[in-house]
Amino acid sequence: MRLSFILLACATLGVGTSSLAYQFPTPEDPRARAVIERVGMDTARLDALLAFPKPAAQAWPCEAPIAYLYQPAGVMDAVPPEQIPAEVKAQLEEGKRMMRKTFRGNGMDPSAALVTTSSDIELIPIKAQCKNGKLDGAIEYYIGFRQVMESNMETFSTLTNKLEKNRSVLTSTAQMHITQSYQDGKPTPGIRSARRGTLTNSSIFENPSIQKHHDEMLSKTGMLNRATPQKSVTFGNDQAVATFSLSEEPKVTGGVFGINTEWKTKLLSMIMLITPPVNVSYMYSDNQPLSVMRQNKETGNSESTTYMENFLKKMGKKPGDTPGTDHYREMVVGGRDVLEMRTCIVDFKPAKMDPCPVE
Amino acid sequence: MKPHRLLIAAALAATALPGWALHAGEVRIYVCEQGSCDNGQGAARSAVTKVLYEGLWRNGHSVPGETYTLTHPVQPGKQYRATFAANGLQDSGDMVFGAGLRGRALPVFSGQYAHVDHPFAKMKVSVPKRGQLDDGMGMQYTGRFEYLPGKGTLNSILVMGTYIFFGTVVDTEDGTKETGLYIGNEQINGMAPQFYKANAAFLAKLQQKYQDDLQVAKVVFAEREANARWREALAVVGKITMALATGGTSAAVASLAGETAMNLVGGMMKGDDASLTVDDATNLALQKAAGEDTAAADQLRGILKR
Repeated sequence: MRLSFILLACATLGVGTSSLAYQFPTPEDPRARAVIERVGMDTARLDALLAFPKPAAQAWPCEAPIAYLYQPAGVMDAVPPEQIPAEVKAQLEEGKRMMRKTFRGNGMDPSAALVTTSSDIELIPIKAQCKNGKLDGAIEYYIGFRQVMESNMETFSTLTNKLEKNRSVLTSTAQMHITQSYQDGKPTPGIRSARRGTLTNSSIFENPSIQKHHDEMLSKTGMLNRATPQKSVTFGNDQAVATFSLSEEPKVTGGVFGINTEWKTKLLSMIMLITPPVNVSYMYSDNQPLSVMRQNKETGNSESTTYMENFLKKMGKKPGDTPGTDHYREMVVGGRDVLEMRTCIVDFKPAKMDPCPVE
Repeated sequence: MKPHRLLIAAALAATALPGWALHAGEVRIYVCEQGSCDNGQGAARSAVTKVLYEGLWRNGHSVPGETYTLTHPVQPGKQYRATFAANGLQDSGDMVFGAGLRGRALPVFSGQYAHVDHPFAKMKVSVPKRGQLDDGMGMQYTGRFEYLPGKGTLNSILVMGTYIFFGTVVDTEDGTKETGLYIGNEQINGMAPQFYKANAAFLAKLQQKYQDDLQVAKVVFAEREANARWREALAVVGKITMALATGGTSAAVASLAGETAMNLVGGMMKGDDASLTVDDATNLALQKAAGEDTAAADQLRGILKR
């Protein structure tokens, strides 16, 4: 067959010119469904939003409030402390305190929490205007950066009777296109951001034999130091936030000729309804429900319901047959056999309360 | 009844975990690191919890009233104390939860203990009753502890249970303090309970689960006992068959043997002899079959005793 014919056929069928259609969810909650409809999300729009170009460098028309401009990108560690406004500083401190509490509440060493270091930041305005020397109106900008998130963990080895120091390092590179409303130099509700980049996950073990084993295993599956593509688009206002993320997930299969890893792109959708005092978040993997979370913004208490594949059924077991599975409930969601798991969080710690005091 | 295989396995595993009888002489579980762990002063380390028990040993067992020094590699500078009762169960001092550690934090309970029957493991265990549990990460639980034995998988040698706590919880990092009811997860004894704030409705659920588990365990244990009885009964039948096959028995004894075997199997099938040991049920079956023929009965008894 001639190459020109194949190319023509591909072009006719659209192969290679656009990605396969993502499976967007159709939430049962009409409010969540309305959010997806309002942002007009579909495969073509998602792809188009992610295909933003890097703009040519130019100066800001007035003083750029770095702390506010960096916040949607999560690179606050790169902001000099003296430039962080008091209310943002308080938010960050509270976030750190909650993180430590959450770690301890889950029986984990809080010093194992991720430490973030951002670098190579490029902040370029695309469309910006000022009023009284401060950003005002819809601001459009680009931000590119590299980020390393490191977690240091001490693990007790029952083989050596020693504490071993291990590290988990997440390295990401990202480019973002952000559109946000500003008033008097401060952001107001209403944001749209598109982010694309890569994420590399690596683990460093103190024990060389564990390191060797770990590296060999990941090499076989092609996952060692793999820069996995990450893409997402977020829309937010004072009523709802919707995020659509694309990430590659490995599907590892073994065969006569060794291990084969196939990377599949999954769409993860999150729709949060801001309905004070309780916000409701729905998460979907492709078009399948993944979780529902209700969180009281005043108390911090929350209840989440997670759906996962019914692995017990595959093993010929029922919830409660094996320890730790008592609280699972078997159900069928969207024609799938799933296990439902509820988690109640009170004061940032898991609680065994029925009903969960969210309202 | 003969000791159940599960019971032996559970007891072996149990010796390694806090809460259970301390038996440093159990070489499959303890490693003697210093001195004599049989008779004399010595230090033995649990292979499971990694706690090092240092003190006086008699026939490999802990000595009632003696104080043992406990240390753990994750906190090498810290020493803890414990005493053990005559049955080998801890009765005072510190309980070091060394199983399933994730880092440097070493949970330790100090206070009074209760010795409770574990219906699923079919043994007694020592558990915290009143005192303070420090989770090693800044949370201190001071008050009353209750232990609810857990079913686990019933096929495992691991002994499990759930702790319930009522008292004061101090977060030494935050400086906060609150009083209330907390429940842990069902987990292996030897791991510190990870407590969650709880309410009465959840306690009711837990109690219902415990009752349901007892029923499940009753059925499983009954099935295991029945299996064991059948194995014993079939061994008796096998003995009779072998004796007949090798010859040397009179026709009267051979006939009696067959009748006895079927009486035994029939009795067990109908559950008539459920309260008897297999030996007693065999004797009864033989008596029924022999009637007045005491000579043949004596001969058959002789064969069965071989």
